[in-house]
Amino acid sequence: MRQGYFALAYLLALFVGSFAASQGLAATVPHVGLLTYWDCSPGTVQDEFGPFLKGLEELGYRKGETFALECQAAGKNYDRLAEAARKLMQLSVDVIVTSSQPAGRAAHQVTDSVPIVSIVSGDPISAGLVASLARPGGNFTGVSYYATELTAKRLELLKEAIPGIVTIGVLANPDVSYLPFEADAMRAAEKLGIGVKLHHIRQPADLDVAIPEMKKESVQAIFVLPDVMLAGEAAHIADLALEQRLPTMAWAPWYPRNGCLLAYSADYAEMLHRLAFYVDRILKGTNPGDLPLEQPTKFELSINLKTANALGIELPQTILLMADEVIE
Amino acid sequence: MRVSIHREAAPVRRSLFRKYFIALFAAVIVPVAASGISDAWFGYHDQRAMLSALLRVEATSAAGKMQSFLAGIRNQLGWTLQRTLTTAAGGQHRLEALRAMRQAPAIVSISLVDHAGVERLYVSRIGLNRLEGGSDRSGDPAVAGARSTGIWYGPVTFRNGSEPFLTMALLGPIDSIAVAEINLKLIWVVISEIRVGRSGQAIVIDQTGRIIAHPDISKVLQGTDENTAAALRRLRDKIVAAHGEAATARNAEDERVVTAMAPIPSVGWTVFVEQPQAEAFAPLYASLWRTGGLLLAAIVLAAALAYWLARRMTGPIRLLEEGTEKIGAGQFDHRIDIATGDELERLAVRFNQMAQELAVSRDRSERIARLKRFLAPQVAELVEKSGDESVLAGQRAEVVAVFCDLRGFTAFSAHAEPDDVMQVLRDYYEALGAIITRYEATLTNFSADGLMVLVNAPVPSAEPALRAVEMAIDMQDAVQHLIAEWRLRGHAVGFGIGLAMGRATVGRIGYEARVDYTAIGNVVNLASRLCSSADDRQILTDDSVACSVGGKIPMVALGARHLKGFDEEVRVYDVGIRSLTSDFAPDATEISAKS
Repeated sequence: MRQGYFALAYLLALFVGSFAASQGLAATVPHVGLLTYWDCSPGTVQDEFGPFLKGLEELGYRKGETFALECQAAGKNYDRLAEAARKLMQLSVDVIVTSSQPAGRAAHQVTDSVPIVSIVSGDPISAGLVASLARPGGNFTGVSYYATELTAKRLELLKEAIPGIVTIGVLANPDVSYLPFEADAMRAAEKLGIGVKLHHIRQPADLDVAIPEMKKESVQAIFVLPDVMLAGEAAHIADLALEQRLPTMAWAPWYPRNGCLLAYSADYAEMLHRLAFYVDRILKGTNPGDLPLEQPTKFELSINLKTANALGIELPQTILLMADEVIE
Repeated sequence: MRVSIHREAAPVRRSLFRKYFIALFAAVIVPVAASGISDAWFGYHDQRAMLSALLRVEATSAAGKMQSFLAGIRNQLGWTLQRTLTTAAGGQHRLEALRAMRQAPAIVSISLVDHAGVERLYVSRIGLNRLEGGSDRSGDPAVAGARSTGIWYGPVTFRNGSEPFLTMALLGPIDSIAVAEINLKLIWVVISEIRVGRSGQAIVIDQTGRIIAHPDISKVLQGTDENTAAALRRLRDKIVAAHGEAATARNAEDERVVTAMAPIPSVGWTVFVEQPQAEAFAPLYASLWRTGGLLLAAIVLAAALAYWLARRMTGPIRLLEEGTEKIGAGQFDHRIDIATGDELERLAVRFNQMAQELAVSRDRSERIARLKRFLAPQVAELVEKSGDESVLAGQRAEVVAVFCDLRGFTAFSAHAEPDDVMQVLRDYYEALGAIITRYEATLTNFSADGLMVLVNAPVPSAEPALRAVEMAIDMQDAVQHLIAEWRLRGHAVGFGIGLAMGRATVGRIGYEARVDYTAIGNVVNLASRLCSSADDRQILTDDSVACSVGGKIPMVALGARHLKGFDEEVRVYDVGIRSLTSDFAPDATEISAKS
């Protein structure tokens, strides 16, 4: 009997859903708002949020049927993130989803009522985003990852990969200098006895200057710090580094895929996929403040052997043993 | 009659229909109900036992999975402890540690501590590695624990108050110790794959009652609040109270669940498996509903069956009752129509036969009553018994007609009081009737004081004349006694009898409702005339009677007399009366001599 009612309700929902879809989606279906640094072209959205959207699908959501997807972009400008977030607010979305700390932060600055689900790096507590990992307390939750601790770990791995290393060139975007990456990198380098040549990159074109300059400074490797703008410049950096015959250690698996030598990171795809769980729970009525921030359990070392060969570097056995992703 | 039967039938205290209905209904429903209820009862217990066994197996299996998760990590740690920890072999140890971490993703870091308690190696997924020159860790409880027990499990710690971690320390064969930090979030993969029924789940708690594994990871990361801990303690107490069997209780979300638990002894954890009660008992409820439905159907069926059978049994009985009522009321042509093919039909047939026989018997008694009007009762019975009334049919027969009447009765009746007249006649007929009956003579008719009797018809007798004469003598004798009494009261009457023998036509005359037997012929007239001419105390007979009697009874020949209606003179004999026999005896001999 109960099943009968459910079937009826389901049919009704289908009917209402299809009706709503034909009417350009009524306000009854939840609106999920994506906030991106890049742009809202389908390709970019797929690249950035693919695992998240897949996760929603796995939880039974159908885009355009059981939920509406909104997207606002900053057009590769950090300063415009807040404005994009405000636009999402005007679209009265039910939840804002971002894949990066700066976007999540921008959304958090705009609203303290609409739930925000984000990947965060750095310390979300000291950044004022959440009260604690166990009970965020506000409208912000998501997956936090050890970006700061991993900075030191990356440097250690770089040193292990290229044993004779003395000086590194660091690429950092000053727009995110409020995050502790630079300081972490300096501290770790000091601890590991490595000299640092810091280069601030505000825009992609700066790389064309900075990397040849690093070569002149006779650094033995390039160290890329986390930043959304730099995330998009993986191939650019790889090309320039190869040109200068410098190995590169970066913070996301797509760097080696684009020709950089090494990367060590949490599993981004898994973290993005996990965001769907938060959105589902929030749409079902759970208060985001009651959803604990999760931390990744899986870390990946990615290496590009092609690049290693091109650079004439023979990676030690420990690195090969630890590698989760090897590009040949 | 009819009314009285109804008066008896109406207050039936407990009707047969009701008794039959109840008996038949009970006969059907009691076994069905007993079987249904016992089925349900045993089904319930079986289901409970099965459910308990199932949940316990699930709990044990979940505990087994947890244990094999820990055993897998322990095995990986074991591989790192096969060599003596030397500086020279440092690189090799690191490779082994990395390999172990690769095999066991839950291991976040491994420290290798040598026999002296000095850390020789530390590798981590997140923190910086430490190679050589390590600190003295002999005071570390993990190191001390492993040294004393071989393997040591630390308490579960919640990093940043959120992520659960476990420290495991293992003593190797050459006294070196591996200490591993384990991220317990990875058992979430194991625990979330456990499905008890459709929506049941497994939960792992540590010694202090905090949740360390739950399909909903948020429950672990949030930490265990006091309410949840209390609920879990309650579950544990319930199961302990049920001697380890699955118990029903409210879980931390205040849902009714059936739950069982199994310990993970090495770490002191407990696995709970729980299944929503509604789901766990669904087959039981379904079977109860089914039993209930069947029982209800059985009740309806049994009632219908009992009603039909009771009707079938009591219907014929009612028919019998009505039939007997009608037959009792004299409707002997009523027939009870029952075709059940059983004893009741036989009973109905018997009743019908009885009714028929009653009708026959009534007809017979009516006929006898009719015959008795003119035949002596014994004769009537005889005729009736023989069943042959042809003797009463018209025929010519040799009969003796006897006529008698009172002399001077007309004159007496004219001036006597009616009561006196009727009293005289009553005495008279009483006396004569007894004699006629005794002689089995046939009284054909009577009017006032005169009556006619036939002998030898319709029932023949051996010596009709003699018999008739003897009867006449008795009649005269009896009446003369009466006359003597009457004379005392002043009634002057006499009595005379005439007899004649000869052929006459005898038979029944009259119509359906009123039939008489009579004789027609000269002999009747003759007897009548002889009676008329007889004086008081006289019995006159004709020639043929006198001849037939012969000398057996003395008679006095009175010579030929001219009788009215007869052309020729008739020879007449007087029998006289018994009291005078002695007086006339000489005459009698005379007659016999003459004839």
